[in-house]
Amino acid sequence: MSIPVTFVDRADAAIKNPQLQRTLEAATTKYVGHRASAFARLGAEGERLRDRGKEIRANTLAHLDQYLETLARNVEKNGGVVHWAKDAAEAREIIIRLARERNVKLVAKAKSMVGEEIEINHALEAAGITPVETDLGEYIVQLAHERPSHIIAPIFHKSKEQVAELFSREFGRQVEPDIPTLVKLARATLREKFLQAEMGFSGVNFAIAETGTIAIVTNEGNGRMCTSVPRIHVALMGLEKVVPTWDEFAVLLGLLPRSGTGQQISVYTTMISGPKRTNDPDGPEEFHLVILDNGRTKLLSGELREALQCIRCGACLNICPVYGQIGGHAYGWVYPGPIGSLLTPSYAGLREYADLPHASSLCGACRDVCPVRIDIPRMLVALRTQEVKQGARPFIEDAIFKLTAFVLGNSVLYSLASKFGHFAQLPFARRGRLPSLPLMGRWTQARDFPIVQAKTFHERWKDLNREGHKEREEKK
Amino acid sequence: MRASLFITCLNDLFCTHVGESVVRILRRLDVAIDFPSAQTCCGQPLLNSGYPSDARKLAQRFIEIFESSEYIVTPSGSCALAVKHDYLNLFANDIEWRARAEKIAARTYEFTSFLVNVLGVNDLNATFNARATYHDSCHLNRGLGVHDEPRELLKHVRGLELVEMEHSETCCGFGGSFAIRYPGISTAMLDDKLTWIQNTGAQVLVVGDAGCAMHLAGALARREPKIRVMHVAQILDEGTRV
Amino acid sequence: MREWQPLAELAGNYDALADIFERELVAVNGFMHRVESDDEARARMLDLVHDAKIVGVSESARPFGVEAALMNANIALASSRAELEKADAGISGGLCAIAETGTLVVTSGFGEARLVSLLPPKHIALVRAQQFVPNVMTALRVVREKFGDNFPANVTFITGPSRTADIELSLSIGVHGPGELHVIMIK
Repeated sequence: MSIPVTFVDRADAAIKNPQLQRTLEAATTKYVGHRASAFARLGAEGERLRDRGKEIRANTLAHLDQYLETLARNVEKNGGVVHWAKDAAEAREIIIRLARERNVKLVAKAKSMVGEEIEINHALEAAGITPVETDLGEYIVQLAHERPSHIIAPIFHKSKEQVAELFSREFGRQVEPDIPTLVKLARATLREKFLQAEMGFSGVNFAIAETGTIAIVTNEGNGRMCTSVPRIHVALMGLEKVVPTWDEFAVLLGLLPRSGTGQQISVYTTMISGPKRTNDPDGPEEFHLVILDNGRTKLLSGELREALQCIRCGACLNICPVYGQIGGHAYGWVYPGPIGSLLTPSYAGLREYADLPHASSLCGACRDVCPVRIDIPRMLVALRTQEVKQGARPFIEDAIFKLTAFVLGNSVLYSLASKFGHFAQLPFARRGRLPSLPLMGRWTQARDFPIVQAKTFHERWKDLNREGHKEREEKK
Repeated sequence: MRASLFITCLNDLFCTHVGESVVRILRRLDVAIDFPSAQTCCGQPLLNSGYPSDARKLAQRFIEIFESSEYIVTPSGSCALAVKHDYLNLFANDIEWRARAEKIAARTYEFTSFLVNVLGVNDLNATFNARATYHDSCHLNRGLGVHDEPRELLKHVRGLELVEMEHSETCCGFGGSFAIRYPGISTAMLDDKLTWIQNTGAQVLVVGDAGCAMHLAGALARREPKIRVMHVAQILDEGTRV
Repeated sequence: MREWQPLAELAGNYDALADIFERELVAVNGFMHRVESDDEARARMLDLVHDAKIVGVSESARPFGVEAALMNANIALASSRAELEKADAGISGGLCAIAETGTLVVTSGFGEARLVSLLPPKHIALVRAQQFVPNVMTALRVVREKFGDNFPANVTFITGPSRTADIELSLSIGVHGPGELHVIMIK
């Protein structure tokens, strides 16, 4: 099935897909409920934790270069190697070079959004190196040649029958659509990969500058496998993921799982500080940290700086009523949902993704749940303003807004316009409503439009005043 | 007590009954109400679509018109939010206008908030026999924190059975130009909201914001014409008519 | 709020901390065993591995004398990576245990093999009551105090057996990491 090209087509296709609608409702309801329970358990402390989280992230961004410098110094002190990549191409080049130089044939990958951002899998395959996704959901996404549809639940849009079909094709035999069977099969297959792979690749949830440590938060254990078994570990991080100290990391660690899945803590939090030490019986011999810019420093100096505070929990996706209707793929790139509507235009082009900042009713539910209190609606409006400034909106739309502004700025024009509106719509009025109206098809396809009243409130005021005088006279 | 009415463009053109009820109720509560007739629009739709300079001009016009009012009361949470919050950001870099905006912001109230928090009134001795449910408009609820006030007023209406719908706080899908730009998504959100409304068995849907009201009423007119869409002011007004 | 320290008031109150730890561990499908002595701990461990052929034992488990007990029970000790890959269980100690979240903290360093608590399908950890700390922040400080400037290459928080809900949001226990976690606590 080909993926529709425009956002509106993708969104409409998602809305008309009954299976996706069912799974979207189940997934978002589940995670919204779990998150609410986790924060209810914390009580007022939870709100203070979010305040502290926002403070930590904002402070980090304010001194980002200093903390990145400390991080790099400490990673190297631990025996690791730091690489700086200004964009996706450079990051791919660094990782491929590392793999080639070390004769890597197989890369065991733990889930990484930033890995998707630089499209590392295509690059590895083109270089004759095989990447294997080891997070169960990502593994299935890889088999299906798709993108994940949610930051933390990549395949909630797939049924177990669809997964069984994928496995049957992959393994050349009939696989039962029974979840324990599917999980067991995936475990056995991927275990082989962990043990064979020369390189393990991971993302980074947080990078603690104080000791040059990267933290990876998982539930399945593949994060531990990828970073402990293969002899080379390469970690890729967006430069905004640095955290100054362990105490501050503890706060963010308290916020991330609770916000995303409602867990107090994930099953495994793995904190890696360089390659194995001389006396360690196991662990990777080499540790490489690739620090990626790819548009982040540009955001740092603008109105969307706050978007860099994101800790990738997924809470905004789960609560968003728009995401809840259209799912992750409709957003068209790596980052879906409210935060995706900020990051995608910023990293992948405002003109190319001009719909995303507008595909929101600005309801503010995302801001309500963000663990670090990012004001997403404010920045969506900032992007809309940028679009107008850059002339990225259709001419007719711009003309309508400018005309509206002009009319609203003048009482006479305003009352003339309302008179005109009333008379122009009269032919279409049926029993006090407008079931259809030229140029308003998008509205009237689903709902009636109200009629402009014969007497606007401005005009009714005289009558109301008379009424009011009479009442006051009667009272006396 | 004196207050000026800010009717809002949508209520002015489409929902005049709401404004009439607001005026009658405030008069019944001995508020001397006036209506600065030069008023048009708060400018929020322009701001939200990416036209801050145009919005700023309308904001300045609004401030000049209403500056001498002791209180400004509006039936729409969206517009109250614009004046109380957005205006402050619009004039962030202008000391003089920012100060004027702050004064106006402090005096502006959405209707139910004005009754409960300023007049200290929650019981108007009103009677209205119906089962009703209330939709929390996003700007009023999340933006201004006005959630309990409408409910307090409705709970004191005799004969009114207030039933909470599931997900009353979830966006109805109007979102201003969003409903026109993305009708598919807007309608999908609308459909869900209608289901939750219908599930309450309510005969009356109480909605504050004119935008949400137009959107919901327009759909109910086709699918459930028996459900009446009303503003809190209308219920209080009809409930206290002699 | 400068510091976030839930349950800080219970620091040093090992009974209370153990109760909370147990509640949290059980809530995530882990198993808690409370014993009075090292002897009892070894006996309980043998119960848990009674049908095992090979078992991996890491440095941190040594002080509990488990190796001798295993050999007496004719259970082989994994002595190579290949053997560990086939082991039925892995036995370790831990640096400390976090009551608030039901978390066991394991670290590399001092000869500790990290794969013992990862590769085999069953993980048994032995801890003493005095190793319980109230919260994550305290645990991280314990790590820093123990290692100082020689920070270990790996510190892992383990909270229950591995899990996924990726397929149809249905919970499955036991994915890549161990599917069974047992914590034996010695008073």
